[in-house]
Amino acid sequence: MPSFLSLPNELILEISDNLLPHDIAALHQTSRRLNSLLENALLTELFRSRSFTHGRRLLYQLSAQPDLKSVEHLIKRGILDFTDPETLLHGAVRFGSVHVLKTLLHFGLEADTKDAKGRTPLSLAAKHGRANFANVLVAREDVDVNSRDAKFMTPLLIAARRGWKVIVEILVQSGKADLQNISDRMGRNCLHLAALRGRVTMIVISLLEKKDLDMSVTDSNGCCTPLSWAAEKGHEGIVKLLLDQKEVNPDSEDNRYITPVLLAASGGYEGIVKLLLDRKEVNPDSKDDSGSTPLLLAASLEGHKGIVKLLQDHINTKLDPYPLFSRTPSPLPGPTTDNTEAPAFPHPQLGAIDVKTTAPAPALTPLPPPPLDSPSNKIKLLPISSPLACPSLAAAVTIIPVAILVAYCLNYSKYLSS
Amino acid sequence: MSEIKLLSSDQATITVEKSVAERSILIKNMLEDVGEVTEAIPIPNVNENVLKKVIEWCEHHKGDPPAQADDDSDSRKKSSDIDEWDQKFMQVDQEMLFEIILAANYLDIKPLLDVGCKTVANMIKGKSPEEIRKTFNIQNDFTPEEEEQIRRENEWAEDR
Repeated sequence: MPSFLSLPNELILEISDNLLPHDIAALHQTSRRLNSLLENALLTELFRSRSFTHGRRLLYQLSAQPDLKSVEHLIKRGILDFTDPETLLHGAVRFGSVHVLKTLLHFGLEADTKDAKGRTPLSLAAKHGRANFANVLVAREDVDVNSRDAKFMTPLLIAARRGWKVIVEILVQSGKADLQNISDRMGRNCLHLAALRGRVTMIVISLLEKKDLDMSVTDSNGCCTPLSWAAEKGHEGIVKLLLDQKEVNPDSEDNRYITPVLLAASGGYEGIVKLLLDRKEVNPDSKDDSGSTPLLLAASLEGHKGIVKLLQDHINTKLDPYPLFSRTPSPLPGPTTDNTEAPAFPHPQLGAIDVKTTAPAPALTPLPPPPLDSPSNKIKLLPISSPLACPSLAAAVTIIPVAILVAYCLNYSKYLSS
Repeated sequence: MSEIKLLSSDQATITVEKSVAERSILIKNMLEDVGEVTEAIPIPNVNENVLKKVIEWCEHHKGDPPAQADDDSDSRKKSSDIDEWDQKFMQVDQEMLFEIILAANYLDIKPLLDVGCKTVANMIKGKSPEEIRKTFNIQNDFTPEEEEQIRRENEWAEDR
């Protein structure tokens, strides 16, 4: 009674010749005889088909074992010819164990090759928070800790952005990571990127301990410092940490004169507003290039009474030694609030209104404007209205309505084009 | 048109056209060696049923061009395409299928052996080890621990 198992070995091998690896593997697992008979057939088929996927899987699988002989055998037989050795380590970092990585490095695979996106194995370890892998790679002479991927990101920037504290520490502690000069395409350094994520307070601490890091650096748009970023995103813990650093300017302003307190007020982060206002350098009434102040922005949003009150208190005590002329707290711009909807920032109308209510103040005041104690407290009027308002009182009085109109139009067009 | 006689293992005599019988390299070589034969050629490993089936295949394929000298190329392997007539021809019970394969092997009829092997391969494709055991009535002689270890060793080859 002939059956499959009554076939001689050479005929079973002949049959398996018609099968792909996974089918041979299945047959190979059915019984002891077929297991030993097809052991070689399976490898022969792999090398005949030069299957990239199967080859890599087998390499990773065998590299995970303590015995290195089988890997050595595969490599001698030429498995690296069709398994793309340039990205083998990347796969190991993503899917393997550290032992796999070590085995592959032991067999001389290059430790710092780049994948299609320009990432090295270390970049990937940084991205996926794989600390053990990062440790092995950072320790190697042939690995560039500061390599750039196609997006211009280094492992440190990637880890900071992703919020992997351990990786940041490994990189920083290696002493090889360049903290000072490394920033991404937008000019943001690792502190910026860490501040972007609120939950990574610990990263910020470990970075702050490194004194060669520029803490007030603005990005290449002349925009956010780490502090303003944290303030905008509402990361109170980070704001607090940054404010504790004496190198950090609490009232930094960007190229649009936007300060951290303005960002925090517009976001409705009362805790942060308070932290910032507690610093005497912080101007509670700073004005950005569209004339918005923290008070206006906070008032324009629902439910920020606390912030409005905080700001009013500080404006009254900090800025105005002359209570007579103190700005009457009118959070909602009075006469023109036909629009009851809370205007979104930057709102052209708000900017224009602000010019009307605040610009004439110095002109009508018989006393000089209140002295301000911080360099950033210099009064910034709208680029259009300031040269016009300065020359004389009379000129100011006649020109102001025109200025308002022009400012309104300019701001509005800016708003539209932005 | 000359004819020859074949004697099956169960002593049945079958008359067959010489050119058809010569699809078997074994018979072809034998005839070349001994020249003209009048008595039946014994085929001790193949019974009448199977021998008739094999002859049926040889008759259908007698006009085929001779097998390529180098037919070990990759194009031959892995191709599960079996021509329609052969597919129908191979629709037999497993016992007969393996009998045909063994006979084709013994009689050295390479193209028939290939068709047989491909047919069996198609019965294996896409099946799990357990399904293959059921299909061919293979006894699982592993301990559960061995089975698990072997499964892990073969993970790389899984089709995912």
